[in-house]
Amino acid sequence: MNKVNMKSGMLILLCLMSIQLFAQNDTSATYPPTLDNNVKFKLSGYSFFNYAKPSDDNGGFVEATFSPIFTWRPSDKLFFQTEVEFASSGENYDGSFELEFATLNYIVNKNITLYAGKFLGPLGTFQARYHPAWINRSVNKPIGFGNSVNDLKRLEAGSEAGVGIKGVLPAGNMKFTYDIYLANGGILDPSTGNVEMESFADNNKNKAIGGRLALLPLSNSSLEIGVSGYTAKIGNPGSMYENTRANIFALDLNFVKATSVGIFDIKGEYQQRTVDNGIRYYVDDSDMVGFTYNNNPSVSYLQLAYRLPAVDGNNWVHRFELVGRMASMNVDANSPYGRTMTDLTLGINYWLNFSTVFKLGYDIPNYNGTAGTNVLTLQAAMGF
Amino acid sequence: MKKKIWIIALTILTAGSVYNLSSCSASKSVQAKSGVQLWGENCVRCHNAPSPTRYSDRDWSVILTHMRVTANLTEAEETKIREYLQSAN
Repeated sequence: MNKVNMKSGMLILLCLMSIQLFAQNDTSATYPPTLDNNVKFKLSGYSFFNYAKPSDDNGGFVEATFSPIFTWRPSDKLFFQTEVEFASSGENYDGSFELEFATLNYIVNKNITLYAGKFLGPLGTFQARYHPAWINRSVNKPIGFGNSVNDLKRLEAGSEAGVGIKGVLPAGNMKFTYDIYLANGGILDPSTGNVEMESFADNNKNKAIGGRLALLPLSNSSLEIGVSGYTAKIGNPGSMYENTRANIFALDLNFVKATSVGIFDIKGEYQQRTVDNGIRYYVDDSDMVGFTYNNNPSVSYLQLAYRLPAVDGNNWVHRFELVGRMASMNVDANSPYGRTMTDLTLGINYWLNFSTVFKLGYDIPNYNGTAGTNVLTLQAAMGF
Repeated sequence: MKKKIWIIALTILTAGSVYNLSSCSASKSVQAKSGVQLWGENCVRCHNAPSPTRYSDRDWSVILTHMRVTANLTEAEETKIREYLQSAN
């Protein structure tokens, strides 16, 4: 056994010991403590750290994040929420601070809520609901649903600045949900065709309009199917790209069912962003060196999770969860984003309580039939 | 080709799982459901369901307002789940 494997083994042993310590301290006492005279304020959030070991390199602690969420509810109809993220990641373990969202919500009536500010991107469901590490069953985000891949920025905005209206419409045993918003919109990079979706400084008068409509057809809300759309002008005024538009289409699926043989959790999403066809992007407009490609990248994932049922006398069995996820990113071969990519992620989770989990995941990427570098990742995540 | 086979297999597996598991779903109307049932059904759509004793009554009040907007709970669902969590706390 070489030194790297020995270190990995020691790390796993350390984590297993920690599990026991956490498990012993996991009481049902109220946590975090609430100040009696501060009845309308709630501090929540999540934290995680990652250890990653590529198959062709040394392992290391690669990311640590703490994301507190502050909720202030001055009345039954009005509440404000903000999340800030403190993170360290990358080769130099650089620190970063980011305002994830800061949103004012006003509940107009039982079917309508208005919101304004900076809010999580409502297209699809992964970013809006499942991206926190203690909620995401897999050890990382699907390719294309988080960080840039091969310089291709995420297709939808992680956060948007604008206003919106959302709500739920009961229809017998079914429910419809809707979410429509106006935001600043993305900005086109004329040298590559890339689009910066998180553009809080608007580059034109046009506002992006987007939204999601979902159906929960079963009375137990176990199945949800959603469709999302977005359109915006993304070019700078006065430029040859002034009327260029970006359109996004997304489909999402969520199905969770607890049965006598365990809990089945199926999640999936497809996104495609299309920028007007026939556009030539100029790497250097001084000598008009440029290229043309179909600027319609798409990303998708399908994830299956299965948590074991509780067995009499063995209350630790149901703490284990198995996860498998296939994700893909499709780009034009002539684009600057490299090649079409798939990523199979297999994992096993151990839940200490409802919001604290240790995950062990193994990524198997593939580039158009060529194997990439496999990565083993260990994650500890906690929601509070 | 290999990728297409993977996608088709996963799609069939997913569709089959949803069909089989849905066929034994409770058909009781939302109005007829108790708070504990709605709590069990709705929380797990995104995350594991916390114990009622995890937070104080006052915290639950704020959390349920948040979840009503974030998870698109109806007013009736929010009220029933809040009453259950506070009564069981």
